[in-house]
Amino acid sequence: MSADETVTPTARFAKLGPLAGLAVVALLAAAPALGLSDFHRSLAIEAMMFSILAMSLNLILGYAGLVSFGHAAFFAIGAYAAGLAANAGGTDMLISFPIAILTGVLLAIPIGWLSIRLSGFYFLMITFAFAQMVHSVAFRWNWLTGGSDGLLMAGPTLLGSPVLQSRNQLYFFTLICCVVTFVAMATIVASPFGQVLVGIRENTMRMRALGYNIRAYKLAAFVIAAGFGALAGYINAQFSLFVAPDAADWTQSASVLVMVLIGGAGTLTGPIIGATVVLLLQHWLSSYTQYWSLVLGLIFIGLITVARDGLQGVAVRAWGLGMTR
Amino acid sequence: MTIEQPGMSSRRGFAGNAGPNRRDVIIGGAASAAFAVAPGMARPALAQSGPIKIGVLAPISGVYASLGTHKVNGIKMLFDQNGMKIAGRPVELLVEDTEAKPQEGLRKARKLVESDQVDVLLGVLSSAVGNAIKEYVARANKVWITTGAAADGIFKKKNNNPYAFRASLSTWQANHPMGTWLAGKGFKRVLLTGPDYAMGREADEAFRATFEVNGAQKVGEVFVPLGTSDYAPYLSQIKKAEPDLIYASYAGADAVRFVQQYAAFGLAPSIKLAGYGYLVEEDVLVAQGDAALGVQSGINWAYGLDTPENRQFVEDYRKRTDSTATVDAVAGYVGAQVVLEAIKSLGGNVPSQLELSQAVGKVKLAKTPRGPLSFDPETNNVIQNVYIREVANMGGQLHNKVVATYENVKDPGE
Amino acid sequence: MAEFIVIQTLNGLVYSMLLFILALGLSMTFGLLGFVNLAHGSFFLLGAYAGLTAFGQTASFTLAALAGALTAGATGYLLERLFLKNFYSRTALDQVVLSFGFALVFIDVGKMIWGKDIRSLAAPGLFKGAVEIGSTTFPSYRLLLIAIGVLLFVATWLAVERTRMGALIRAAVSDRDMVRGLGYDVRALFALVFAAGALLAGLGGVLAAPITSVYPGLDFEVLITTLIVVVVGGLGNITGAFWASLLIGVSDTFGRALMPESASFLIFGVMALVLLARSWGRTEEEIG
Repeated sequence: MSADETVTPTARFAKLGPLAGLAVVALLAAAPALGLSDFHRSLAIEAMMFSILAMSLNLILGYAGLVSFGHAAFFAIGAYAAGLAANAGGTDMLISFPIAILTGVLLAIPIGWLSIRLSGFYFLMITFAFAQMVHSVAFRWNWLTGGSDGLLMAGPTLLGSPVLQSRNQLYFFTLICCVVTFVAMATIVASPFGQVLVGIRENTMRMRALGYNIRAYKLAAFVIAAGFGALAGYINAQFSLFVAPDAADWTQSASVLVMVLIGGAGTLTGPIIGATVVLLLQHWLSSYTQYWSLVLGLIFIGLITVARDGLQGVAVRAWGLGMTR
Repeated sequence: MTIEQPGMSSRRGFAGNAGPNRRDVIIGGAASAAFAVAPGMARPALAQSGPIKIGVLAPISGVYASLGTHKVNGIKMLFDQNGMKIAGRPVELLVEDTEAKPQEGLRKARKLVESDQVDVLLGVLSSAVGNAIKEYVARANKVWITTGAAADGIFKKKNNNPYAFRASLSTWQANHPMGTWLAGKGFKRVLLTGPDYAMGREADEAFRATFEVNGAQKVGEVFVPLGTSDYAPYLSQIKKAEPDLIYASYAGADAVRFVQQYAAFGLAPSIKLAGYGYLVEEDVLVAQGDAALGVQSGINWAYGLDTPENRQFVEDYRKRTDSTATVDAVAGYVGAQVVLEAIKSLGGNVPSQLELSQAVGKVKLAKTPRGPLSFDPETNNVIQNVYIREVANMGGQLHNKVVATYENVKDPGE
Repeated sequence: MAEFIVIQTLNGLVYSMLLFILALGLSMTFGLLGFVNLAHGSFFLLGAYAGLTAFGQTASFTLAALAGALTAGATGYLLERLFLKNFYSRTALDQVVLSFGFALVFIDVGKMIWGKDIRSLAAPGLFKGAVEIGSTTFPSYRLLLIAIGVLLFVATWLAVERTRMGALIRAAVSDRDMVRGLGYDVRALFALVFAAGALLAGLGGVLAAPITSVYPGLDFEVLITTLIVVVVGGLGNITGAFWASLLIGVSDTFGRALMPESASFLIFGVMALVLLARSWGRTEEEIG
């Protein structure tokens, strides 16, 4: 992989980027008017929501090289925070939205602080453990979370009147959040902060020698990722008006991980592609056959065997720090 | 031993072939959804002359796969027995997999209601999925009859809505009579055990309400994480509390292991074991073996229920799927019966969801394989018999025989 | 009080050996090949199912154990020869995705062949009974498991540390080219190790079956538990896995006996503590 950025496909795409991006957003915005059916609109909402989640994981996985297997924890935390706030009277989005994001961010600080002390496979396992603990709390503390049966929540309001009640409103809200997330990610990645993250991924020892506080950068990235993950959770809660412990299930973490990997870790659009593909694949396959696990497994095997650098080579380098022998 | 899988054949909707094939719908829907921004395939409203479309939601893959498969088998059997028709009009079953996950369940429900435009929703096993769907159908104005979702909190007076009905049971219904029964048998010291989540706790509460009378009391409780495989640390503690009865609310693999280990650690026969029906239901008896002999449990059906309808049901189920009927298969079958009766009473039409809802509420079945059934208008929960069963050797195999019947048990819905 | 400690320690030892038997195969593949095998749980379940089928035909537990081990081992060998051998040079993340893919495939293959119901396997005839320890009845099969666990540990350790084959494998892992240069077929060695790991997993499946029962989903439950054990024990270390199993097994058992509801937090808490203790004062690259 040469350091010459301008020849990679990603860079070429980046040149077209802003224009192509605007076109896509315009198309998405017009879609409901062009006849996108109710159900497909809901699929689109979910695709965008998972795109946000995947983009957030991509920040730490693709750019900082931290492969987390517990990112669903923040998805769940954002959703539950939204639900609990709504049921406690805070249905106003001006209240519930910041609460959801803040809860994710605040909980990410201790979780991140502890986790970033490890790397590679150990980091994977400890993030997994934290997500399992979140799941356990969600599942068993019924007095707080509604327990295994999940939490029904009151619908969102804005300054007193109900809002986001129609599928269209939710669609546009999600679209806006998705665009904002994308722009945020692009900005972070292009900034000096983002460059340092990439540097940490590529050669931690060098960066340390250069005087960077590695842990501070990693923690910052982890917390930002958690915040956007909580945003995805917030949207999920408002969309279904229901939150269940399965939002923190390890299969949810695995799913996001796969979305990022399949789409292309370390790229800006990769997670969006990955999220859409995985969501739709999961949906169709399970309608088509009960053996969707088999098909999905074969797809993974095929992809990883044939599309050798399909994972953009970045993930290869990300993991390289801890694992290769 | 094969269980009919709701694979490709069900996708055609009819017992045979022909007709608008659901696969076409799926591929068509898939093609449009592939470009999530492209205009989707808008489905025209179906005229009353088309088939009656019944959306079936069940966990066909995932942790509850075997229970979900039985449910779907039960549903399909009922409609097949009626020639895939209701009042002369053909029926199309659209089966979707919830994977026992609320997110998936909701997505599939939306698909069935919005994209496939089904006339009614049937199914759901997991209580979490049921909890989510109940609110969804109220917003989507679609009648839904659940064949599972037994958590007490889902169908109460305060959250009753005209669209959701439960044709299966509530945890309360199954466990409440057990307390009366066992107290009546003279047990005085019970130790309660079960998985530490809604089902385990609700079973425990319902049981104790009727058991703890006349000096009978609880001497201890052991609630463990769902999926515990080794009960050894608990069993010696249990023995120390010197109960004369253990009341357990495990299900599935947990039930297999608990009963096996209870016997292996010598707690049988000095301490009686009883529990919620799933503890020794037909699907786990094979694995439990002789350790389950004599264990009593309560639920709304028993394999050995000696009525002509049940004998016929069990026989038909075996012929059709080459497996033993279970309470989940019956739940599917009876749920389907409710749908059939309701739509039949409307002459085979579904003029509006509210009319369908009224028709469902009025359904009174006298002779299901489980006995009589009707709905409580205050909670839309089923009113039915609850059977106290005991595991016995029936013709060389272990099955549940009925030792007592509690009639017309109604969940108060408080 | 004394009896409580004795009984729970025994319970803890049983659970430890169960954990070890499960973790051994994964620890071996990981320790010797550096390959993260997420299909480990699948080999476990495959062995259990194969054992069930064999038992159904022969009513012999020993044959069932053999069948389970060999089926898993053979499958592992095939998998290695056909797919995995191209992945040693790939990053661990690629290996994870590949093995996860196989695990997903097996979820359905298992259901297709053996159905979705819960099955169980009876303990071998000789060990069906129980012994009296104080006032507690203790199933003999569990005592047998303790013995088997220790035996397996010793046997595997000896095989890796004290035999020529073991030395060859360790050498090949350290310096593949040198060993190849000396004329040995390194590919075959690696295949052998992977197959051995799978074989141990399959054997574990049959041995654990009388306690855990056999059902779809068991594969991932086992995978998660064994990953925790292997991580606590230190990746790449069979001895470490043994001590980790003891630590987790005994502490988990006592934890459950004293506070049933907190059980699941405990096992993760132990793992988190061990990991953090190990990482204290060291940079990430050193412990990665």
